[in-house]
Amino acid sequence: MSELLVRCEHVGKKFCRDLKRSLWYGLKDITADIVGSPPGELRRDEFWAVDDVCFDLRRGECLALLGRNGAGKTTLLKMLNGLIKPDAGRIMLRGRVGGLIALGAGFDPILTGRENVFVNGSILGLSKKQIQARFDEIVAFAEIDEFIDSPVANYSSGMQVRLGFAVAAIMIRPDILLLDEVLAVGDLGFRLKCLNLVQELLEDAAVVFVSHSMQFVSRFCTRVAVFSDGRVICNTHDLSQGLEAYYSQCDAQLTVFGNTDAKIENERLLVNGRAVAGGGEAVIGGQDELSIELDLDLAHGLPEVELRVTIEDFSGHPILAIKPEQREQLRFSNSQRGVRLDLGRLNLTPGKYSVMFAVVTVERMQRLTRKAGSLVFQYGGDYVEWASVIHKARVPSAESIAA
Amino acid sequence: MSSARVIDCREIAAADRAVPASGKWVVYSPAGGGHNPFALLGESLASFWATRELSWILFTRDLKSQVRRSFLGYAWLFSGPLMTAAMWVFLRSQRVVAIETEIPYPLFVLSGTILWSLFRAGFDAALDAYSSDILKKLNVPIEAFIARNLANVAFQFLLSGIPLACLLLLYGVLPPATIFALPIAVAGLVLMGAAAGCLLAPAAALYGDIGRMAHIVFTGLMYLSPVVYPASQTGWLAMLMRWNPLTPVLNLCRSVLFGGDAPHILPAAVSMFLACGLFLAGLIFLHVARPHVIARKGM
Repeated sequence: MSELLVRCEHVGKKFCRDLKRSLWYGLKDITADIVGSPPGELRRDEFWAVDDVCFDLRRGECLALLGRNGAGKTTLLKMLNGLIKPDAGRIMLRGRVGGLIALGAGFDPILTGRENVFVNGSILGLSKKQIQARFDEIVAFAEIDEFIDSPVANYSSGMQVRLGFAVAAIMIRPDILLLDEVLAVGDLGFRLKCLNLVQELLEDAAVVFVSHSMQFVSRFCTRVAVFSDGRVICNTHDLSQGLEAYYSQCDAQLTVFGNTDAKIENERLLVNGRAVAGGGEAVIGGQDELSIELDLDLAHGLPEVELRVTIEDFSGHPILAIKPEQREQLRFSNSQRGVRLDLGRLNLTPGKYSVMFAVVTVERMQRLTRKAGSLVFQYGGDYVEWASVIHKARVPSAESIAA
Repeated sequence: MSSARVIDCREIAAADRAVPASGKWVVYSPAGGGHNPFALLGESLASFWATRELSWILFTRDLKSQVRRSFLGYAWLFSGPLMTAAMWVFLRSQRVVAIETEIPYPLFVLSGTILWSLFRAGFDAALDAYSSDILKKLNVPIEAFIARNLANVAFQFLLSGIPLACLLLLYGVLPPATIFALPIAVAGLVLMGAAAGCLLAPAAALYGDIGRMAHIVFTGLMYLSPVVYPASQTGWLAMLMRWNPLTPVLNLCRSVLFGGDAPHILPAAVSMFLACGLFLAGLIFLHVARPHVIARKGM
């Protein structure tokens, strides 16, 4: 096993809901700290923002902290960074701690990009010499060659972030890397460069990674810790289990757009021919046959419409477009009860999915209605893939190919 | 086949209870920031050295940015005391106040207001130690910001020499050789301000009241110090001024600048020595308080 770089032992941090009281407690805590008395029980209006968190992290591991806003992820990150002290337990770190946090710290809009690179770099703890040595690399990465001597105030916001990202990501080589939602910035082309650079940083560090982007989590992380109200409710090497725990905290949002000319009603999910009991969330696996039933309600005098069905992942990205065998099968001119689609078996990466319905006119492609976040279901499985759809391939043996 | 392995913290704790031995570990725990003040002080002083480049870069950054966005640039650094001094010279010429000084009054009052502004700048330098946003987001030594602020004060000191030198030329006053001791005397004065600032900084970062209060207290304190008029000899004011620790230091500054009476070195030295000790204690205090301040101020 590679070396241990981070250890959290029953780490806790208290926060206070009431501002006035919080400031007063702060003053008291400072005094107590000087006198040397340890923090005690919860006081009035206080709660544990981080509660009894334990984990070890070794070089080469990447731990994703998942959880809803306010679950305590960033507070933990701040404690790891040494900005705030735990109120319980202890945190042990070995090696240089660095992070892609607060990109472009210390940028002064009046100064030129060149000057700001040096300011930002030295805030990150680098010497002038070190920055000088890789200055050209930073500018080239940020793609702002001709603007490097203009004031940063004249930069577009994307350019500012790019420069900030370039300085931090190129210059720091930490043993313990802290990432807070700033993995990929800028336009599409730049994002790809960012991700490659971050991947390089990850190789040789113990990484703690706060993100709401499942794409990045499944791409980079080797472990997942799911937070809820300051506690770790799931800490696992199995990403699918971790993601499931995270998804289970979030409720899908059913949204309907459009006019009342076309309505989709009574949509139901059938698993192996049976409706899901109790109207709850269906949990399906690779062996389950899936069907969708719905009623289509159309106003009189509408032109011919087409029903479109898409399976979306939990963040609303379309994953699978469902098409009938013949186009005409999902085209309607009148209201129709009990439209049924048999999807058969799905091969998805484990996670939470929902179905999006849309009704458009055939001729002008005008959208009449759109119903998203409907029929939420969990897809359970053994492993998480980077991709959403799993397609199975036959792998013939060498002999059979030769034959 | 699920490859799930839920790591239970008890399991980890049982696996190896002992602290891993190799390498140097940084430990963050709730217990005792103030347990080992001398180690903290050593760390703090080492940080001043370690962050010297950063302080310099921050200092020049602020300077450049200030100058680039204003016409008068550096002149703003000494225009305040110049204005106050001019007001008092005017008031005295109109006989609103009667102030007798050994040296020409304009010299007296300008030196006074400049010294006072340096004292206040020293106070603010330490009081504002937590104000930077960078401190709330990145683990940057706070010393870099204190050093930056103190460098600002030093710069202000150098610039203030210009109007003072002009006035000295105007009155044909030749400063004595002791003027070379002026930086030391002024450093003592600034240190007194900084010591007070350090001790108040955590409270000031939490409560806006402290900053406002300081402003008012300083305005009052100015009139209890020999800034615009010399220390009086009789009455309540004389007694207050005698016990004011700033009085001997201000007097010392003036006497190394203009000559005159042999200064009472001892009271000034005691004041400066105490300020030095308080400043060092203040540094420890800033360190211990920092995580608490950031936790309460957030973001």
